[in-house]
Amino acid sequence: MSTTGTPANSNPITLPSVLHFLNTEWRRFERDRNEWAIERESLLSRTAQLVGEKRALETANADLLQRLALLEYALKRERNIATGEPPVPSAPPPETISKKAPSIAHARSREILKTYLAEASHLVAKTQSRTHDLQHVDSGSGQLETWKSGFGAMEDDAQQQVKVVDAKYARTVQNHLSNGGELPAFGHGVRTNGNHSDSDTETADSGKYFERKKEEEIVQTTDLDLIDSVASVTAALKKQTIVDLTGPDYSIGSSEREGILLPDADPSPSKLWKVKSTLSSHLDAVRTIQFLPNSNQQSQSQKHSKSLLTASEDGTIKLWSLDPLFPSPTTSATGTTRRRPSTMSSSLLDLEPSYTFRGHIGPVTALAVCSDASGFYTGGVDASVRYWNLVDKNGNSLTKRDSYDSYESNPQKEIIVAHTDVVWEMALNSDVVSGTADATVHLATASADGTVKLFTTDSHSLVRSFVGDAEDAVSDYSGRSRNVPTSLAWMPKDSGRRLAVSYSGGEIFVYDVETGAVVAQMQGDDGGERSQINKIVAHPTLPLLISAHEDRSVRFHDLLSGSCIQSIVAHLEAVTSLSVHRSGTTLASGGHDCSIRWWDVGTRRCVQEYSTHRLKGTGEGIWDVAFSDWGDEEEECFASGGADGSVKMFGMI
Amino acid sequence: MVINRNKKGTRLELKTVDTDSDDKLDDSLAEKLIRRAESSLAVQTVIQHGIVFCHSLFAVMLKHIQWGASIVLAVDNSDIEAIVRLPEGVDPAVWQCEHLRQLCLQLNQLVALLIPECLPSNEDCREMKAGEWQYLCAAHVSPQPCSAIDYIIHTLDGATALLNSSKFFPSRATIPMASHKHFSSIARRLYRIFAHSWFHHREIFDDFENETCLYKRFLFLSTIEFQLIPEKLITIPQVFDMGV
Repeated sequence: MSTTGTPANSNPITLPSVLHFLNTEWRRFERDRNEWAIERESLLSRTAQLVGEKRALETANADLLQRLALLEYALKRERNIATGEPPVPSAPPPETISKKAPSIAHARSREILKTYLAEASHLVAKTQSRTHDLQHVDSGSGQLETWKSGFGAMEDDAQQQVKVVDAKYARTVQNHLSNGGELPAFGHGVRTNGNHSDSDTETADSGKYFERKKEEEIVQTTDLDLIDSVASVTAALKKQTIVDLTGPDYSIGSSEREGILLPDADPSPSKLWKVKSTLSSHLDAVRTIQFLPNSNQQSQSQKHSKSLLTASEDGTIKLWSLDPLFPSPTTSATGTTRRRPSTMSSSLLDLEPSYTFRGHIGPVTALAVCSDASGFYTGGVDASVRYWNLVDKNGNSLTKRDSYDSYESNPQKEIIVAHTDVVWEMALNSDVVSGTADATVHLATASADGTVKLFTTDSHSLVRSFVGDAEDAVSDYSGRSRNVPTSLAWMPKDSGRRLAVSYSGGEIFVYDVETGAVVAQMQGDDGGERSQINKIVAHPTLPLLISAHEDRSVRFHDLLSGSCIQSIVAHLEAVTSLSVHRSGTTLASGGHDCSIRWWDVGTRRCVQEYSTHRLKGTGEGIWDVAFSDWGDEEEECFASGGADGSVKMFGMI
Repeated sequence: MVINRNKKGTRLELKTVDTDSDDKLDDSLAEKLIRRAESSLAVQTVIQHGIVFCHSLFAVMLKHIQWGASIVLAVDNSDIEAIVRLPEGVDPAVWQCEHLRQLCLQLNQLVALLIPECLPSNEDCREMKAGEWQYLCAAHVSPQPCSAIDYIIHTLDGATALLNSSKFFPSRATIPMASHKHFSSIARRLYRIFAHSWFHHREIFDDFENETCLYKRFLFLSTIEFQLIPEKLITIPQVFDMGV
């Protein structure tokens, strides 16, 4: 029950562990209580259903009995007429029954309406609460509040639903009256219902309305009122039923209500992403992936082929050449032949990496590729930042080599030791306009030691170090709640001067790297594990910042106003990664529920959803997604890296 | 039992695979994990658990490694046996496959340490030698006398590719019978990496072994638990107390 990975023989009773235990126990109790409440509601609705059925059967029974009595009476009368006897004095009873029937019937009808109201509220609340539950599922006390609010909000809908029932029933009553028939005698089962403390007062009121004509009027007016609401309520009901039919995993909501969005309309099949192949050579979870940008070299051997870099928890970074996925006349003529012996893998579908970069001790967690693709930076659990060459000493691109060529030259160029804890994220500001005075390319690295450090790429010297809030610098007893930077994004304009940093407590700070000052600050939810931001990306053209959160949401922030425009519940588990297409129209997100979703940035609706990768352990799904920025429309590529160690490649065609 | 994802922002002390501190690595824990089988990668999780349990100081050690320092960790033989021993209800082929994958994973670190040292300019490292034996690299169409570092990397990459290939190991939950024979050849080739570093790069081998006990675990796996390597191919002298 201790939250730290200490050896088994240390003292388990510590204050943090006790508090943690109390927390978990409390949450568990809340959860149990909510489950009990859910069960209770479902049982209540079931009993309401059954009672309603029973009552319906009883009224049908009574109806038939009365018909029987009438027929017997009629038969007797016929018989008397036939035998010439005077009319039987038992005629009055039916009439008195028919006279009393309206008054009693009206009272009864009001009671019936009340019971229908109760039944319908149970049934409606049950279906509504299911959808609300999905949207507001949270551990702890939040759930109970949302239950209460959900029921409160549902009163309106319940009333509407009941109005529908009222309207239907009122119509049947009216039909009976206009037909001149007697209202069925609901003598039997109605009294047994218990919830009619107000129905007694109602019967006292209704005692005034004994005349049938006045009843007709009342029924008519109420009917007219309700006809308008019927149309709208049935429309609402239709929407609700659609919600139910889609199953427990999804609920449709408009973007104003937080809801997981299903694809609206089927996009044309040619615009969908499809899996092209799987790259599996990593032995552990793939933590981060990035495509190589198009390089501008002249000679064919120096030019990189379309390639992908993947960094993994097994401590290696692999470079994959993706030419086999895009067969074209030019590449096949100059492509290298893969020499594979018969005992090793011989399947054409298995791509092997062109190069495996070894050197990190422990998992590699961060990756940043230079814009001219001459090298790349990596950061890992060993707190080191390493720079690697992508071009070997002869000037040939490493993407062109065969997997089993000589490894004699070590591509690892430099190790920067500056951080004292895990380096979780790094980013290069590659949109710098060259030729201006402040045109240095900077590397920003974020680490769990709480700092964001800035290096120049030519001399690898430390330029600046940003620390978070001063209060958070003091570590809490549990350690985990300390606010550490989790993700970085350079703002694409302003010649590479602005850097956005997101923290595990949910805040986003935008720094000006020249002065070191905070330019903008966006506050998140209250701290705690669920508010952690896992990734932020900057939109290439709009002043928009998009963040992915542990609480399953993706949020859009406006940089001009510094506020959150919108929050969408994007996945069923934590959202771990985001990638924006360079055109700015599509956003992709991946989460621990093993699904990838593509969103349209303008309307913020989900365009496509794809589930892939397998869960590792207790719920690690997808760690990173990336668009390729190559510029060729036919060869657009998308990749996702998962905790099962595989990388899936997607293409449009 | 709480198992944490290593999400961004986790600090080093906490970056382990967590479990309750009173759980011991015994058969019941492994069975619990595998029976729950929420994912097809449960076996890998079990092995990684075991390693972290036995080397629970591992994460702390990582922080303290300055280039060149070494830390001696005395690990009980029984702990290593506990990682390697086949638990009930697990397919032996899957167990071997996952152990070999974990072995390749950790050998990456040894290779990372060897790369700056094992240069073809060394007399011993111009060809792949281990003691008196010389090996030809089988990763090519015809066996080639690669330099030592090339041989090592090609072998490791080849083993990794084989263990990940869709033809021989399509699924991580079941292994086709035809692929069982590859375990022994993989183990034999990986053994040579240990052999070369023991004979010609003794300090690196000792540092690495003290830190991870990988060689001991490998020997347990391939000679005692599953007979993957015949005795006569074990060229490193028996200096380790195997406690058999």
